[in-house]
Amino acid sequence: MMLQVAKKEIKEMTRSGQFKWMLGTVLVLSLIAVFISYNQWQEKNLQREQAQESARALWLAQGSVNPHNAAHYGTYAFKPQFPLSLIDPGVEKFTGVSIFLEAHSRNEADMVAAADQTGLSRFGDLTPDFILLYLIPLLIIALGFQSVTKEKVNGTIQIIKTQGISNTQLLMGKWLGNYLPIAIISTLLFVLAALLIAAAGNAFDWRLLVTMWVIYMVYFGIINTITMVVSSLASKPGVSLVLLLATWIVSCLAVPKIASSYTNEKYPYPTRQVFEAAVAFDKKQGIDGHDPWSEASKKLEQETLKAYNVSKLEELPFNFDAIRMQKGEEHEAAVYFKHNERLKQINQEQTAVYRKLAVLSPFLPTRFMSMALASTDYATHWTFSDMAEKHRVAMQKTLNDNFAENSKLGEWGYKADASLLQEVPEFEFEAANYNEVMASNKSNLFILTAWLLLSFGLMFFASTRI
Amino acid sequence: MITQNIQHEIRLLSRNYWFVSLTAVLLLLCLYAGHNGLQHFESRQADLNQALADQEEKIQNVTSVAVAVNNGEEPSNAYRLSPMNIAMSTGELATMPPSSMSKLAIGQSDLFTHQVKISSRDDQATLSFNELNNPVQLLFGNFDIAFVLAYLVPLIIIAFTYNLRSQELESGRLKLLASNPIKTNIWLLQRFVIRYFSILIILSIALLLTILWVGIPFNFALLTFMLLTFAYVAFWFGLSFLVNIIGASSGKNAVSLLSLWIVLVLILPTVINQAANTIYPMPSRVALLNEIRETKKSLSEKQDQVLDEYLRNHPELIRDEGKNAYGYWQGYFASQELMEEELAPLIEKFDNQLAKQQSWVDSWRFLSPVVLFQDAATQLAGTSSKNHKDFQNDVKDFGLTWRAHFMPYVFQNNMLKLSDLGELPAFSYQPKPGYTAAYINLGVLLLLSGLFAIRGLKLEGKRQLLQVG
Repeated sequence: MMLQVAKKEIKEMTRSGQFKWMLGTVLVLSLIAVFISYNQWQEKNLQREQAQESARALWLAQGSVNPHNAAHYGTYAFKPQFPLSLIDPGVEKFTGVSIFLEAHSRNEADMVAAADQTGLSRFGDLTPDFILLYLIPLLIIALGFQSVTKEKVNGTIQIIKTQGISNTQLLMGKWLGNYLPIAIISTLLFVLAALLIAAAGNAFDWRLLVTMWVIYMVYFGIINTITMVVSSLASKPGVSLVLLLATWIVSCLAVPKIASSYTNEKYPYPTRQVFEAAVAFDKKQGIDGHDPWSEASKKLEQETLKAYNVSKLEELPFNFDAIRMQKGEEHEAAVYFKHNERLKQINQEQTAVYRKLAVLSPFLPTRFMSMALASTDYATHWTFSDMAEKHRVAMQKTLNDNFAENSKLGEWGYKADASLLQEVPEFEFEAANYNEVMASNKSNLFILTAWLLLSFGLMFFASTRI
Repeated sequence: MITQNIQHEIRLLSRNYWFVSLTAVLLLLCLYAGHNGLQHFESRQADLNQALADQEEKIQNVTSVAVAVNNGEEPSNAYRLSPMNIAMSTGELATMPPSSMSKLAIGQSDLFTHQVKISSRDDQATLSFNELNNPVQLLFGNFDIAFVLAYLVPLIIIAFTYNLRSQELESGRLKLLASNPIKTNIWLLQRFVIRYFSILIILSIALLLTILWVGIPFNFALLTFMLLTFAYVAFWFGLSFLVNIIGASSGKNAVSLLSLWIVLVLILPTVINQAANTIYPMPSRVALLNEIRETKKSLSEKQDQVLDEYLRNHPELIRDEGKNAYGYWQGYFASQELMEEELAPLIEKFDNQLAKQQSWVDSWRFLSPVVLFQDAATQLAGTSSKNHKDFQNDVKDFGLTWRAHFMPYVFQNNMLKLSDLGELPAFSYQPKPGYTAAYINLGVLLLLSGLFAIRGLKLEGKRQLLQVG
């Protein structure tokens, strides 16, 4: 019985010109989105690969060099582009992709794509995630808003009931009839994207893609259920449409914006200016590798002399200049760590608010899960920034140690063998794996499930009111 | 007949809670959006004041040293008066103060920074103007007045006008009306005009209350903003009028109007944007980084040569007597300038490409009313991409002026004196309000709504009426 209703719904859909147009438009837009994204995605892959290679080449080309000069010359850490960013570029547009690794300072990621675009970029991009998150829900509403209402208005509901179908069966049939075409279109979109990614030779964890697909299917399921509920309760198709559209606007546009405005008001980030000033202030409180006259340097001198039981720096078995620089480096790294932890703290508070507000709209947990699975969320960016810093600190230690062991005090002209540059490994970055992503997104998963259950609960309630 | 219609319409509106519910909804939306705008403005203002105070403190420190030197003392921190220290450490603070209109449209002001420390240490090529922020927030955008007006108000208009004709058609009253000596299209236009002005009044009240609350002075920019809003509202009324005349049933009207909303507001801006990025792609920033490094490296390898070349271009800086105390710095600044010259064509590529994107967007903006509105609103608020680009260019230009100011000191081995401190170049940002663009956009919106109305009036409504009946 249920399947028959679904079949009838789909048949009706394929016969209606209006629906064909809508489905067709969304399909064409999806294809355009996938292909444009694919081209840009490949271009970026290529650019990053080349940049990474030439950065490494430049680093090695220094040859025999003073280790500290090499440290100042520095190199770059590049954030790789993850395969699934083809489907959901997430916040990539607003975060930088490269970090300059040099002596004495932790730099912010630079090269923010949005800064290189016109103001129109804030309206969003025609990417697969835009289609999935915004347009397909609208399509679900457009296809289903009068699914039950029209039977009521036309009086056909009575005839259907005489066929011996229960309200629940009827609603489930209608639900299925509205859901299947959508599910097929979006599954095709996923398959196409997966094929393109695989064709480009990118290996990735299939579980990420499959979970992303499941998340979107659940998201569409929730919206489809809400559509059926409103359609059953509304007295006129017009009313049903207006109600559903209002729901869409509130959940997909208003709630995310309210969440972002509210979060920013409650837990604001400091400005870059303030942040940098605070770092500079703390840096001054400790040892500066380039300043042998400061109080902190003198203290370190005394301590080192005492520890090695010698009276002059020259008598130490290593170059004290380099040790001072390393100590300075450690102090600076600690300062950066402290201030970035503070930023992270604010970020965690913000994230907590976002997660709580996710209760208000199924859009939010879907948005966050999708970005997380594509490794294009803010958490991935933080990990990248932290890993780059770790790499930088290790790099400084390698260089300073070499300097300390192989030169004498004041021997600033010392040049290390070119092989030292090889000892600094290339920066490699792996995003969180599948299990980590799932573990850190438990609350999003939970809220999404709750939405699914709640909406189905509402549908069963609505089935008693037809 | 006309007065009767108007009376009838107003009575209709006042009796079905239309006024009350609409006023309540719009007022709530505007007040909440206004609150967010105000919040953003205040935190921007507070950050600015903080930055200015910090900068003032730095200048005071240097001044006190200069005063001591001027009095013949020899303070231990006299090095602070060196041209390098003032050009780099003290620097100058370039600020872009928020305009009170920015409370209405936050625009791009959450993406870019508004206070940049100008220091001669920074390379012009890698100067970053990005603010520290949570990218999720940038992704979602802000709930400001511009959002309410651009996205939500059109939907409210659609909800209250989609069935103005079809309802009469469906209830059979339209036939009755048509039998009267009145053209139904004119009658419908009257209904639309009355509703247009009703919404205008309600919206004006909601906006004015918000404006009074958040405190925006009444000036030309605000007036333009209000007129722009009225024109934008007129566009949607015009569109709905046309759809009403063509459409056969309420359900179809609603679906058509909402589809138009989706295409015009949601899809077209992203398509125009995507097209701009695809047709004028940005060159690779990451590749630029490596170019910069290679240039730097080759310049540092021939440091002596660089200085010679620089002095050949700046003979006024050559000094024969005495040794050069700032030898290192002379080479530093010389290579900085040469590097900028060498990199200029590369950097220009980015600016050119962005300019091309902008002009693409500018010419295609007429396709979407929301782009027209957003473009004009953010320009009036001083928060558009163009405003920020202006500020950034000013900062870059000033950076050059700032450095040039210190070069005579660097090359003549002079410290700055108290009197020199008063003569430092000062940065000031002159906002360029985009009234021209605003009035063009406003005009186009009005023109389109006029065209819709005329087209609608010319369409034969009665024939269709007979068919349906």
